[in-house]
Amino acid sequence: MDIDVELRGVAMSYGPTPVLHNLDLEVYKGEFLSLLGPSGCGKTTTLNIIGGFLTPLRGTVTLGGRIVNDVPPYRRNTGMVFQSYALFPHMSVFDNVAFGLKVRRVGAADIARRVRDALTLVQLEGLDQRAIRELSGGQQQRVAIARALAIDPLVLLMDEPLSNLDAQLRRQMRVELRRLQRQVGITTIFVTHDQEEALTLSDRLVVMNRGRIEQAGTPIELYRRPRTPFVAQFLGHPNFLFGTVAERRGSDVTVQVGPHRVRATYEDALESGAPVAVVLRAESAALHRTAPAERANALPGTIAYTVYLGTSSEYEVRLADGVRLRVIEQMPSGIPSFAEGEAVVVSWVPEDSIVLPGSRESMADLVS
Amino acid sequence: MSARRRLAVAGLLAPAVMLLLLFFVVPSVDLFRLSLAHMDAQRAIHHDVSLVNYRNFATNPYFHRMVWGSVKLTFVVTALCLLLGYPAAYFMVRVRSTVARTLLYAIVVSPLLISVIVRSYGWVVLLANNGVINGTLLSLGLIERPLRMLGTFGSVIVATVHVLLPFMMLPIASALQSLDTVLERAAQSLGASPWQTFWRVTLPLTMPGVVAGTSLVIALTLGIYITPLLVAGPLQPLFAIGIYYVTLSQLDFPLGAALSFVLLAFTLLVIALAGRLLKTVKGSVA
Amino acid sequence: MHRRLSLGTAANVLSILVYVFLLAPLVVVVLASFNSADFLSFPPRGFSLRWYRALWESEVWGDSFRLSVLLTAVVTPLSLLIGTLAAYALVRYSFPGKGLVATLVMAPLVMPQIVLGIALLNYFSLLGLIDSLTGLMLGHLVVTLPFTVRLVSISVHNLDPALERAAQNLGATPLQTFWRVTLPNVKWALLYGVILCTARAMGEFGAVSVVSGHIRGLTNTVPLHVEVLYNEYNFVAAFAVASALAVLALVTMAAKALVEWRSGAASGRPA
Repeated sequence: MDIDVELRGVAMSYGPTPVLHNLDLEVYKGEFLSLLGPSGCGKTTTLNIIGGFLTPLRGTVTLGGRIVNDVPPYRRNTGMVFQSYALFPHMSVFDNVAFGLKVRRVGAADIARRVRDALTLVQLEGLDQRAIRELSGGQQQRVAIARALAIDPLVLLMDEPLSNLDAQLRRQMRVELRRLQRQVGITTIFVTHDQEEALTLSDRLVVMNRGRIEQAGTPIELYRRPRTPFVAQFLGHPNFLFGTVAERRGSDVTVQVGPHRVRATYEDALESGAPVAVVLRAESAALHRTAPAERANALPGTIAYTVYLGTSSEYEVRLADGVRLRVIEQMPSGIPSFAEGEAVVVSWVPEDSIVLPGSRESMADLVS
Repeated sequence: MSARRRLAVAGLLAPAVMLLLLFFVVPSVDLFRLSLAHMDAQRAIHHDVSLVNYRNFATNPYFHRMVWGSVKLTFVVTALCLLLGYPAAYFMVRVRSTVARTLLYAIVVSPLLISVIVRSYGWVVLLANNGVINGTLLSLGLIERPLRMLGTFGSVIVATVHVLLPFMMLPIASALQSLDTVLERAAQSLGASPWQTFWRVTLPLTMPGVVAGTSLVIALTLGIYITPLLVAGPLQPLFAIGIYYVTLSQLDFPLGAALSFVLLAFTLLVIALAGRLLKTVKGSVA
Repeated sequence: MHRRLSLGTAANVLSILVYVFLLAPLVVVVLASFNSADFLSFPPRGFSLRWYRALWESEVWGDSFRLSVLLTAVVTPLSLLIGTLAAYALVRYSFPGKGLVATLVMAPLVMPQIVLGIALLNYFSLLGLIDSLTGLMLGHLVVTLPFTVRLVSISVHNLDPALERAAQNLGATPLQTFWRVTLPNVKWALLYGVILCTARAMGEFGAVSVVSGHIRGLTNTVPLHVEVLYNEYNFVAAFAVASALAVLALVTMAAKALVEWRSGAASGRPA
């Protein structure tokens, strides 16, 4: 596959503080790639380096096969959508979208056509003569996207573009954005701190933490097979069960977690007695009144409290030895199945256990 | 509004209002009344209402020369302040170190805080025949005889630009500061070079500041007299100097009063027009 | 390294030249005042304080200086007091005629210096206030009032009215609220105003020169005296005095810059 954007050995500091450490990244043609991570992880810095607004300390930035380290932002042919949209307040919608074309001295007839096409793409036909302040947040966002697309850039860079929208609009725009990207087929790099967003939109996902890439892969890969504790706790609602390896047979592993024996699957080598964490996602566990099928893990406990979320319920289950597990139950009927104080069994299939080598101390800062 | 509140407001405003009514409004009104009087050849003032002073202004070529001189000065000074002031304001606002910015800001404001005497004498030392500039040029062998700079219209321009530059720079700096730099980055991301970004984004969005600064400089140049007086003497063709001469040399107060009101009218006109322009410009910038 | 929008080295060089231009007269005057020889010789031939000594020993100049200081000491607090009261009323209350009052307060700024000067000259001669200290003070008050009102207005405007409402809710009378809540929060503006008024009073020339009638010793403030000397061609001493004023203004300026820096964002600027 063609690589449209490539970063090799990129490092960056703000004054004495390092913000990116030796980053290697490839973005393939036509893919929707998300840079996901907590604030301060360096994702926006990375985007700005690709866009040319920051010069890295070390490393190369390659766009469309050529090294662009010394190329200023106005010659990189990247289209950027800013978090605040950055629409020019003194210009109409048409002039905003046409801006990139005007500075490239495109002919008037071509400009008119391309602007019209861009606005149609984002479903804002007919609004070209409006002033920016007359538009709603969602409309402004679309103008920002149209403006970036109108110049037919090599890659679309989006810096948390949905974060200023209210929850409902956000969800709608997500679908819109995905449809749009598929339709145009443009390589897109999307920065966000919202994991749900990243999981929904991306072909591939890059999780970043403290200036490093923790893991890159498809959403399913990262969700089901996180390779680092950080990625594991960042996606979904994980429970961390700390213990040691008791038995190993092929890809089956049994971990001693306190008084419980928990079964999991794991491909790589593991020593007997090695400290591991078994990560159980709250969504992967189910609650039953009695222990179900034999193959499954089953831990008895009591419901400590419940949180009603409408479409789902969140339970906190206290096990015999004081360990607390979070379990999320989807409720199509809207009625929770269990109440506080009830005795239940938490069960899940071994394939849903995620094994991460390491002791409780080594992961202390990730697990509250 | 309750009676107590009304009393409170009245009390708070009373000193200021009284002061201004008694020592600003009334003197101004009385000046107008004086402008309608006239002085005869024996220096006696007759307080009959007549427009003779205003007619004098309208027909006397001496005053026309004065007006024309002021207009010329205004054009040149405003243009120079704009061309020099905008880049300098931009430089100050975008400089990265806060210490440097504070220092530059202090330099910009300094002409305002320093006595006009000091400013003017500084120019005298710099521009005199045996002053700094001539001395340097002579010792470098670039000229053979000292250039005559003091006492010329040129020296008036230089000294006026010096004192009015802050009035142009501060509103522009203020407008630049409230400009969100993300807009400039957006323009660049779309392919605009730094110059294109300036013309299409930065300048239009800082127009309110430019209009404010320009109108201020125009209004102030129209009425300027001390600085030109000290740097170039009382014979420069400037309106305010003409007023000074008529009133304090010839002691023709009625005429001086009339001329003062003509100047005031011009100044108010500029400010009113500027205000109107500012509203439209602000509107398009949202 | 963050790439910033740079309009090229030419624009930067021009900007630096502008700042040099703005400073030039000031620097030159200060240097000349320390000159052991005649002022017009430049570069200075030697370092000397003789002009300052002459200034110190001159009785006439001492009087002028004292007059300037007196003027400043009276006008500054008065202007701030009157200005603060008016500013508070204008920002916190709405009442019929508010626009008119606001315009009235800002009006002296709009009037050309010479027009105001002549108007006051005529008016004071009618009242017999020519050559009097009172007349001088009143003139200064009128001229500085728009500045103090505007400075304090901006500060009060930026002050969250919720603070005052909270104080009243807790039992403070309007006066106590003003004293304990409003005033402490506008102290930077007031300090600013002090510096501004002082600078203007010490260096004010425009309207004042017309008003005070040029009589030496009695009502000359220092700037006026300097003008008189200029007409008598006694340049050098005038220069020394002028630069003494310049130093004063410099100190003022530095203090202002310090105040600005410490209060963070600019909360108001002259003119």
